[in-house]
Amino acid sequence: MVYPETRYLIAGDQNMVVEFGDEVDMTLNQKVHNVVSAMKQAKFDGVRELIPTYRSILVNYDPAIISFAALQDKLKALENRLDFSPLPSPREVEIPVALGYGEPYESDIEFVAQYSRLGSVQEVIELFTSRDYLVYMIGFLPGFAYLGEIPERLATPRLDRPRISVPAGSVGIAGEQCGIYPLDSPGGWRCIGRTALRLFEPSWQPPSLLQAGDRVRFVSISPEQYEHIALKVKEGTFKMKVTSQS
Amino acid sequence: MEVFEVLWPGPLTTIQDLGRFGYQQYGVPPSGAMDGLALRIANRLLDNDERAAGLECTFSGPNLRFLSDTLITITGGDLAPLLNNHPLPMWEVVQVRKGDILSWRGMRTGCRAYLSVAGGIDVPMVLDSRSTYLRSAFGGLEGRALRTDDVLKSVPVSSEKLEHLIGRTVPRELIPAHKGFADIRVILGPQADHFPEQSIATFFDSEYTITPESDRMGYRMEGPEIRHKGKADTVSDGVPLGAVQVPGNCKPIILMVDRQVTGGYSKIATVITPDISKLGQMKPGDKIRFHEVSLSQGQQLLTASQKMLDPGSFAS
Repeated sequence: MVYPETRYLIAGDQNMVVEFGDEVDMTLNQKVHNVVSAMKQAKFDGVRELIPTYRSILVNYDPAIISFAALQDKLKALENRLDFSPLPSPREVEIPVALGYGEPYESDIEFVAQYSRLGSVQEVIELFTSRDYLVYMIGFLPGFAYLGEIPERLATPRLDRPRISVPAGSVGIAGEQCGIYPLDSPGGWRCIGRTALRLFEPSWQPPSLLQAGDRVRFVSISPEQYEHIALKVKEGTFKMKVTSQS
Repeated sequence: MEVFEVLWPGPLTTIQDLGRFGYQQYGVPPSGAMDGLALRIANRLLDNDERAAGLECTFSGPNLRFLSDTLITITGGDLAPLLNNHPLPMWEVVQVRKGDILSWRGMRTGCRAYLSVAGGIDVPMVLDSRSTYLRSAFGGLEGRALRTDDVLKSVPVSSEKLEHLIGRTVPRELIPAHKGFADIRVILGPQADHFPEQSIATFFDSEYTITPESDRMGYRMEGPEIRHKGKADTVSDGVPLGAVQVPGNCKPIILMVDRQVTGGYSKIATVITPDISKLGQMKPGDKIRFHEVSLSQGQQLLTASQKMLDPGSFAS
C-alpha cells in the first residue's frame, strides 16, 4: 500500500529517504520510478545522487547547497504536480534463459516443481515465462536486478545454506522475487536457469544492462542455444532485443 | 612516469581516490578511501588534484623501490614508515630519489596509511574513479590489491612546480589523534522508529567493540543487544554511508565505503560524515561509543570539517 502521506526521513548529514510505503508492491514501486524520473528532469541544485528502491528513494544531497527542509518542500511540490498514472516502462528487455540448466550446480528447478506441486519442470518453465517482470530496483551487487512478481504458485523459500559461489548469469527466485546474478557471488536464491548475457560491465555507460523501471521478458532456450549465445556474447556479436517506449 | 615498483605488497594495499559517485542506482558502491580526510590532506599538501588517487595501506604498508625522483606524502594511521631504513615524517611533503626504498615498521596508531605521490597514481578511470572495488574486481590496478613486482605510474608534473613544496606540513591541530577508542557521532534514523525507547537507550549507553569480521564493506560490532519492536527485516531500501543497521542477531553493523547499496535490515542511526574517517582508522578490538547529534549539529560539524581543508590552513 502507498502511504497517504509520503515520509521524508533523515539518513545522516547528507541523505534523505523519501518513503512512499513499506511493502513490495507494483503500484508503490511505479510511484518510486515516476518520482525519480521527474526529479531527474527537474535537476534540483544540490541533489547529487538518487537510488530508487522497492518503496523509497535515497536522495544524496549537499547540505551546503540545499537544506533538508528546502529539499522536502521541493519534493512535496513536485509530487503534487505529478500525475501518478503508471508510466509505460521505458524499456523492455528480452533475456534468453536456459531453464533447468545449472552448471556447475544441479539446478533447483526440480525442487521448485515439487515445492509448487506443479509436478513437472516443463510446467514451471511455462508458468515462469508466461508473464514479464518489472525491475523494482538494482542492488545487492553491481547490476543485480530485483524482478517481480513471479506467479504465486512458483514462490519458493531461499536455500537454508547459501551457496558459496553462484555463477554469473544464474536466474534465481526467492519468495515471489526473482533476480539474475551479474557476477559470480555467494547466494541463497533458488537457481532455476542461466543466461549467457552479460548483466554488468564497468566499461559500459551505464554499466548495468538492466535499470530500475525496465521490464524483462524471459525466453526459454535450450542448453545448446545457451552455448551458442555465450559464444556470440564473447565475440561481441550478440544482438540484444530491447524495445524502447520513448 | 614509472614511479615505484612493489617489493612486498603488505596485507592489503589498494589504489583509492575519494570514490565513485553516480552509480549507486546501478548497484555500484562508491568505494574510495576509508579515511577520506587523510587522503584529501595528502593530496592538498602535494598540490594534487583533489580527486588524485593514492595508496591505501592497511595494517602495514607495501615495501617500494622508487623508480624516479619525486615527492611523496604519507598521512592517516601511523604505520611507522621508513625511507632507506630511517624514520620518515608523516603529514609532510618529502623528497624521494630513484632507488630509495620505503618500508614500514608496523602499526602504531590507526590502521590505514595513505601514500600520495606528486601528480597522483596513474591508473585508468573506471566509472569516473580510480578507486579499487575488490568484490567486483574493477577499478584501481586491474581491480585487485597490489602484488610483488607491480610497477605503478604517476601523473606527470613539472619539477619546477614541486621544488617549493618540499617540507610543507599540516598544522598540528589538523592531525587527528587515533586511539583505540572513539566517540562516534550519529544522527538517529532513518528507521529509529523500528526500535523501542529501551533499545535506543542501550545503543547510546553502551560500549561496542569492532570485531574481526570488519572490512571496507562494514564493521560488525560486539556489545549489548539492540532489540527491534517487531522483525529485524524491512523491505530493502537504500543504504547510505555510515548507516548503522541492526540484523536479527541484534548487534549493530556500520556500513562503510564498499557497502551493498541496498539492504533489508532496520537502520537505527547514521554516522555523520566527519566521523567516517575516524572509523576508517579503527581496527578489530577497538571500542566505540555512539553519541547522538541532531541533523543541524551534524551538518554544522560537516561544514566545519570541510572548512578545515581550506587552502589557508596549509603552511608552506
